[in-house]
Amino acid sequence: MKITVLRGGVDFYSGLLLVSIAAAALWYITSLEIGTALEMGPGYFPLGIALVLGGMGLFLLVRGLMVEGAPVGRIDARAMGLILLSFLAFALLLDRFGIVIAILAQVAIASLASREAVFWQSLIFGAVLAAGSTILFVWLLGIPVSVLP
Amino acid sequence: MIDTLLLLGHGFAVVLTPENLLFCLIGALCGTLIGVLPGLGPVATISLLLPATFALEPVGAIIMLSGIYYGAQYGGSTTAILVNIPGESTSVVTAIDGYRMAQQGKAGEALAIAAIGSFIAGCFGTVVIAFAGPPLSRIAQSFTSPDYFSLMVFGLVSAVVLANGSLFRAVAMIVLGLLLGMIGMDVNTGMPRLTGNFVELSDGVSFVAMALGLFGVAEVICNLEEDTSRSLNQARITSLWPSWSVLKASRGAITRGTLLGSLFGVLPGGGATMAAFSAYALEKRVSRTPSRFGKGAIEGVAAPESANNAAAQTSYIPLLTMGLPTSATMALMVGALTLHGIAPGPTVITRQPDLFWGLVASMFVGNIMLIIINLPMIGLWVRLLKLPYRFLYLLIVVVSAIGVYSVNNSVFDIYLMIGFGLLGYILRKLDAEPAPMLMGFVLGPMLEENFRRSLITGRGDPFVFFERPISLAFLLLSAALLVSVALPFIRKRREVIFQEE
Repeated sequence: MKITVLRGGVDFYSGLLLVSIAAAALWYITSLEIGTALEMGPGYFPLGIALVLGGMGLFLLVRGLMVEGAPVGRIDARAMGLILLSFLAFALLLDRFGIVIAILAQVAIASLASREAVFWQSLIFGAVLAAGSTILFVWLLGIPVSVLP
Repeated sequence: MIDTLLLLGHGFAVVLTPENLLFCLIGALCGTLIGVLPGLGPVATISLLLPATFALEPVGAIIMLSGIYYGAQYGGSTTAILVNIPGESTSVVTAIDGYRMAQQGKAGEALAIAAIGSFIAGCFGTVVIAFAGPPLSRIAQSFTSPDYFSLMVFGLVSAVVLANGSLFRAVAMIVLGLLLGMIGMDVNTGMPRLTGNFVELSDGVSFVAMALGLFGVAEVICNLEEDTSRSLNQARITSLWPSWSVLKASRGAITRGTLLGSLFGVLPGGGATMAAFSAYALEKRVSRTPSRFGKGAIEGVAAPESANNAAAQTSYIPLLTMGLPTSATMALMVGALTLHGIAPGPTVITRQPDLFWGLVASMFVGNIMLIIINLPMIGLWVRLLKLPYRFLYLLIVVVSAIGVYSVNNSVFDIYLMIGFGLLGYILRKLDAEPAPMLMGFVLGPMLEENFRRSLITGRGDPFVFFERPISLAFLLLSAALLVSVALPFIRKRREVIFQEE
């Protein structure tokens, strides 16, 4: 997946990211008491930080539009999506189906993210990981999760 | 002097218990392992193992986590020399001459000198901590809130020097980290801030979820993009006993590397990678035959390997005496200490003598273990290099998922880690290193607290930061540092030096 390069893509997109984060933070901060320098409310310091962040983001955004700069690195959507999805699967399955199934599902999905992985080998390795994790984390370290459904 | 030795003796009494020796050994083994394995750095590993240390006593936990860090400096050189793959960024320069030596059939000599240099430097760095730590912490105890605020600012600015890539974006990353550090309960009023109505966030963002997401998960994705099948063109290991002439030739380089590394470790923004690069440059300059460098000069192995080990040890000084982390790894140590209920700062040495002196003593013990682990057992580590990444990353993702869950037994933290993994990956693509962000996150709450207190003592007048000489000095230093980094010739140098401390 290739992101179309605006002028100075890296600057533009990092600026956009920072401005959006700062805007979201400012939106939350409006509900906080700001206070004064002598008697600071909970919102005083975060407000300052968010304003600085927003300012820096805006600078990057504008610079990205005006000056030609580095393009954004190629994003490997497949590797990214599958790895993140594998964690999601683990999180969703853990409470309902226990650690063994959660690990096997995670390994199966994560295995698809690599061009070099061989699926059946990964699954065998996943079974080893599931057994090892059960012994180490559940039985020895006592993490409160069920092993099987 | 006598006091220090007595306290050090006490430290050895702490370490030489079976459990703590075991933790030290586990740390040294893990460190060597990740040092050997490319694609798995100390930051990711320490965050991976942080949850597992919860059940331990704080001393044991810190001993183990520290062992990982300095152990990685040993392991990194092994692969740099044998297969020209630096296991850690701190060994990038070692590969230049080390691999050449290996090709000339002198792999054993290079490995031995790297290990001996690392050992000498590691021990020297530890002595520096033992003697410089207590007086420095006494000085730091006289710091007032404005001094602390300015010290933290200085520490954060130094983090920028460490970062790879754009200076402006590195500063922005710090600010982003500060903002994320604000999430959670406000200490003064108990009000939830920026939590977006997630109850799970009322204690703040889970440190482990953030570190693992930014470094563990994002790095896995980055590594999967590249072709990871390594063509191992491995050199044969010859005798591991260096000849007398080789030892003599590297004597000066080891000494200079050790001293330079010790200095770089203490400086905020220095760190092990910078130390190694600078030591190599220095050797080339003082050498009578600089043309040998790049063609298998033993000094080119001895100096950077000594320097990165010395720096790995002395970077604990600012952390343990002032509570100031100078790199992402040290920020993780702050996190580890905090999770164990210890606030890093000048009182650690007096209030937690077991921790400080135990850690110092464990570094001696750890270095002895490491030289044994690395020299006679080298064949084992080389064989591990053949563990393909297609299995390694599966191990990393599974352990990350379980580890982050186990901290609070909360699935929410896994979601949080997914978010930070995404953020970390995107930020890397946008040429913004996440390491300064972690430092901002760790220092954020302390920065706010000292800012508040300063303005209360200064009756709301921001000039309070310029009135105290110590505070003013730190602020001026920060400004000077920022300006100097922005200057073109230093900037170029910075670009060579990679991240992951």
